[in-house]
Amino acid sequence: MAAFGSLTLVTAFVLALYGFIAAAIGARKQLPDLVRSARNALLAMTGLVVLASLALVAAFLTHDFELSYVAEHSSRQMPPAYVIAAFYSGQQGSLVYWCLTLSIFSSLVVLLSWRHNRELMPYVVGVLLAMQSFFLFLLAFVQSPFITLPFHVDDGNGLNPVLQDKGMLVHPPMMLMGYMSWSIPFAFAIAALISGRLDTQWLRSVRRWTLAAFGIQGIGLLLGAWWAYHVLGWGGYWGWDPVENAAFMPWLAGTAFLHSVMVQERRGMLKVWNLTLIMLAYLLAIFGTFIVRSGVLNSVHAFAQSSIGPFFFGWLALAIGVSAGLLVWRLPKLRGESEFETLASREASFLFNNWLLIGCIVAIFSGTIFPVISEALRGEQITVGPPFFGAVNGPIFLALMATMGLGPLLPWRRASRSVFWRNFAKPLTAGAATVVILVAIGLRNPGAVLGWAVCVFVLATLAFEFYRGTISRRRVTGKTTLGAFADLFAHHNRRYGGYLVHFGLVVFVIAVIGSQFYQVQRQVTLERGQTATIGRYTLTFDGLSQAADAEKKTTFATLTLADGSAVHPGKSVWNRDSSNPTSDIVIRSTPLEDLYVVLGDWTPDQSAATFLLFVNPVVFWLWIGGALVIAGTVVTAWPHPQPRRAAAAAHPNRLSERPAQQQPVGAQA
Amino acid sequence: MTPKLKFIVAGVVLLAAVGYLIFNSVSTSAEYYLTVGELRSKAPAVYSQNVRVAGIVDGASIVKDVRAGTLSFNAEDASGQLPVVYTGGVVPDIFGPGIQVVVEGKYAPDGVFHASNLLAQCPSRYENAVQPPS
Repeated sequence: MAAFGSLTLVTAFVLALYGFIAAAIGARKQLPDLVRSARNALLAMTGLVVLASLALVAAFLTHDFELSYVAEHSSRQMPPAYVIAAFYSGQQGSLVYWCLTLSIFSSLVVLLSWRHNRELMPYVVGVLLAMQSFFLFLLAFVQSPFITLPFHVDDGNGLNPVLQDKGMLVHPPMMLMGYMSWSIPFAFAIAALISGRLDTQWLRSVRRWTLAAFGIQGIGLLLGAWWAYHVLGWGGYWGWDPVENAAFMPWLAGTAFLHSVMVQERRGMLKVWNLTLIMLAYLLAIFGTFIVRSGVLNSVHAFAQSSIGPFFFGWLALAIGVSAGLLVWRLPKLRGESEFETLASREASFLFNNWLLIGCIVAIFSGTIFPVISEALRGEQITVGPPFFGAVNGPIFLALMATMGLGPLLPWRRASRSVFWRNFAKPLTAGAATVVILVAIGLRNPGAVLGWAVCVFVLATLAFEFYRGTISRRRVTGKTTLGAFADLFAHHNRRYGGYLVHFGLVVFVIAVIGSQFYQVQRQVTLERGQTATIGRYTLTFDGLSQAADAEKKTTFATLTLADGSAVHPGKSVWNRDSSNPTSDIVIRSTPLEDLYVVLGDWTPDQSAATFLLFVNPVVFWLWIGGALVIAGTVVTAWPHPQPRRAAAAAHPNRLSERPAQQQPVGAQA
Repeated sequence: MTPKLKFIVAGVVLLAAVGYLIFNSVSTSAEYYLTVGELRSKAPAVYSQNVRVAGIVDGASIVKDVRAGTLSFNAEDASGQLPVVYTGGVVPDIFGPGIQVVVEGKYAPDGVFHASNLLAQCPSRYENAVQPPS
């Protein structure tokens, strides 16, 4: 298995390198045969990477402990699902997984967009294969997962118990795929710059890929939050840890791009800016991958400190150099076609949205690397913790939410005063009323009151938009109100899908505000029979009991609530690794609040135990809001060619020419 | 004002606001991140400040008092040992002998570090080399 896997990876590397060179020369010298050959190399390379991945999974499933990587990350007792998950749990495997998803995405790009992007594709293929060559080089020669152990072992180390959770099955694959997926828009951007095809063609090809990246990384972030909330036992879902920040920043850059790209499509402005944003998203993704693997920063996450840090740093430097160089070289071709007219316009609101998102990225970036900077400047490490990120990002997020309410209701070019007030009188009233109501019921925290008021303002603008759309759709089609409402998503999916994303985000933010400002936390030590109170809950400690299965021994506490029901938080000690106990947290979730109970320590005679109790308001809606964001992203990205073709034909000056219909290069293959 | 100037002014205002936010928050939430040795060398100056200190848990020194809700242990590095009393609540699952921890809190003149926050870094076991059977 080891020899087969290694051979597959080396061959894949050779193919990727060949394809990269063939694509580069073929594109430069206009040699269709060579370009076609590069394309075939990409597809064949994908096949080999799939084979290598299957070989590694097979090695795990057959407990092939000859392979050092398999022995390090799995053991015989582990359930099969976690044995498969162990595949991407370590350094080498996660690189294989990255490579696997990148090759599959690359193949999809080649298969789906070859016809529509005749001029761009040779360069896109070239860039994608350059990326593949980098990863395959690391896998084949630096960090191979197919290294064998020099001695025999009967069983492997197993996966860290804290990773043996449902979250492990979904979060890392999504997160890694999210990081990877910014490669595709980046490849298109580089291709557009090199080829000089800088009209809106490349943007339209890249929009769905960017939405995919936005959605996938969004899911990854959400699952990470959910996993942390359910497993780690500190009552929260986000800690501004370097790893979380690293994953959040590309997503923010991509979000900025998805907005500003509309300004270019509509008005031919912000061309340099859009290229910068999408390249920034990729660079931040690589930066994130670099810092989480290099040991540069301290984090509560477990990382491999390994030899590949310098390689990633080199790759990052190369990518920054190439991106910046190409951008400067092409500046003369990137003049805007029109100018901004007033601050009260749709395009200006997009610009503000972008500035705010960039502000967020700058704040998070500087906070994340602050220890490194201070060490370099003053010789001492100074950290900024979660309070820093909250204090900086809170106001920025608030302004972003306000922009989210304003933007969609402002017309392009300029808004007259009367239009402005007609659109915003009711939403602004709703926001102001929220302030009055919240203060009247006794809330005093300015952040929470203002935050929720802005949320209600945005909800009102969204309701207004949906109402207006449904009414006009009903008039045009004669359908029922419900039918007309559904029609909005079916026929204007891009716009109303976007609104659904906004709606989900508002719900999400409402939950964030509630849980950040109004979390109640208590730590109590209870003797058997004693009662603790938190919020409107009273919990009586009835004692501890033990349970065991093949893998672990668990100590449970029984806590009885006032309504007679009981909760059983516990702690498990794993047979293979007694130094690594895991908590079994109890979360009683209702739409209003979550009761979150963690069992801490207990006295040797089991007569007393410590508990950490939380009441987390409205966290339930965090997951609902997140799910709505993802649903909205899918609606927005849903292929829906007819009306857009018609739009393109009706406004030929607005969108660039329609997809090339000529015989594309390499279509015969 | 011309539209262009308006945009420049708006951009500068926004930039200044973000810059102010960052600067202001750094000055209120920055904390030293020190090793045990560095903490000692800064001793009188850091007594009043919140600092973070990294060290390895000395297994023999761990004392838990469940009823009082305290955990005391020595964090050590090459420069020596630092007695830590942690009163912040539930101890991370992976806390234990030989684990790398980061404690956050105040260093007192009596030489004891009073930690309100305890972070345990996942052990390198996650990426541990497989040992030959003995």
